[in-house]
Amino acid sequence: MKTFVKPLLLGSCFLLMLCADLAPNGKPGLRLLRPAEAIIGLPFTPLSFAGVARRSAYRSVVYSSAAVAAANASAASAAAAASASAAQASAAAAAAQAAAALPPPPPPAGPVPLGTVRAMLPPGCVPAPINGIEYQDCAGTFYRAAFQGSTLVYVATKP
Amino acid sequence: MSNPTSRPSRVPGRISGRIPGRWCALIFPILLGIVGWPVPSHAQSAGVDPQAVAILKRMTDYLAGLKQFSVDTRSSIDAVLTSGQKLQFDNGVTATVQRPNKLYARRKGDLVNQAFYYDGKTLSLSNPDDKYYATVAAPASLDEMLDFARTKLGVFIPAGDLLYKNAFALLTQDVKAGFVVGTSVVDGVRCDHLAFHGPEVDWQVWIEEGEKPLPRKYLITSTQNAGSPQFTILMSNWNTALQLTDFTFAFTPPKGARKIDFLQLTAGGASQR
Repeated sequence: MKTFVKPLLLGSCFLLMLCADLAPNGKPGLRLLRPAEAIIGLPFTPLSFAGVARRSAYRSVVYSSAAVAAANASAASAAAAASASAAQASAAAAAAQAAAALPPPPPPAGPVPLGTVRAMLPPGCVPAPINGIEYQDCAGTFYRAAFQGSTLVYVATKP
Repeated sequence: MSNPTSRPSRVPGRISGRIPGRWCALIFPILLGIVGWPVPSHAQSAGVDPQAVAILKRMTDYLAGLKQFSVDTRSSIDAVLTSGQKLQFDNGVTATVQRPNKLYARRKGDLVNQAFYYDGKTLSLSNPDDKYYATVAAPASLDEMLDFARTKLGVFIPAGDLLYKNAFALLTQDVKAGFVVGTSVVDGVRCDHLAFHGPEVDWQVWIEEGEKPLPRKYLITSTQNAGSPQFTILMSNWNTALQLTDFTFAFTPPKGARKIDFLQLTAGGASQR
């Protein structure tokens, strides 16, 4: 009986030690998925990047996708905009504003929403300068190059 | 267990033979007392060691006091995929700084050839191979420019943390613990290895011993991000006796290069937690 009880008790002590060790210190473990943290143009969807500055741990992933809402917003503002440059500006702004809370966009079916940001142009684009601004005409969708952070990207825009 | 030959023979002195049953009733609460309930488990690093702070301050003061310098950096950054898989990307940058308000950085990798210019008035980013560049008006000091580039444009200067005039205050503002790990060698240079712990990030810095307390390595762990991704930067070829007679920090667009815009960051995007 004794030989049986002791290992049991010691075992439970050990288990409790483990539990105590693993018990949350009133602090949740690692944060779960933050879907806004998608970077366009990579062939994968990163959940997060390391902070590159001590003060920027949470600013590490700064751009969200220019997802549907942004595209709609920019489409609306593009429609309202008087000039091509205004449309471009608002599209870019809307794209940037899409910052939070949106999952990466599904692959566009049909016309590419304005404000869509791509790391690479689709095949078969031709340069199309309009009013001194260089656009890329990709089967009727116009893209303009821009820097997203220090990354060169292409934004679907209305010339 | 099922194999009787592997069982230790029952001899006097064996622990279960020595401790009477009632001891277990004692051991149990004692062990609990030792282990404790939810107690922070970083007892060894509680508090900030003044020696670590002193070494750090010596470095930041030294760096802030350099009128001009250049340095080669190699950095790597972790990305964590939704699957939990971790990837790492490398980057090499040579930076030239002239205080109070000039910076030139050249980034050269397999895929990226990029130059960053800041001349106290404008900030420019140029991809000469792609023949694209962007130029925006920038704040008048290096510190403000670093903030502007990071929060408004999403452009990060590697180890920009260390470039601020008040780098010491910024680095230590929410540090909860810090200590000297010991001496180690980075790229053949003897360094003091410091480690700091904060609510969002843990970071380590390796500072050259001796007359020139230069940072040689800087590592940031984003502990609140799943997978705890890290950013590491190695700094070598420090030139603190730099002559910049003919050096220009002003950007001239390469021939045939086309001007493009930065996508602006919104406050929401930049401060998102």
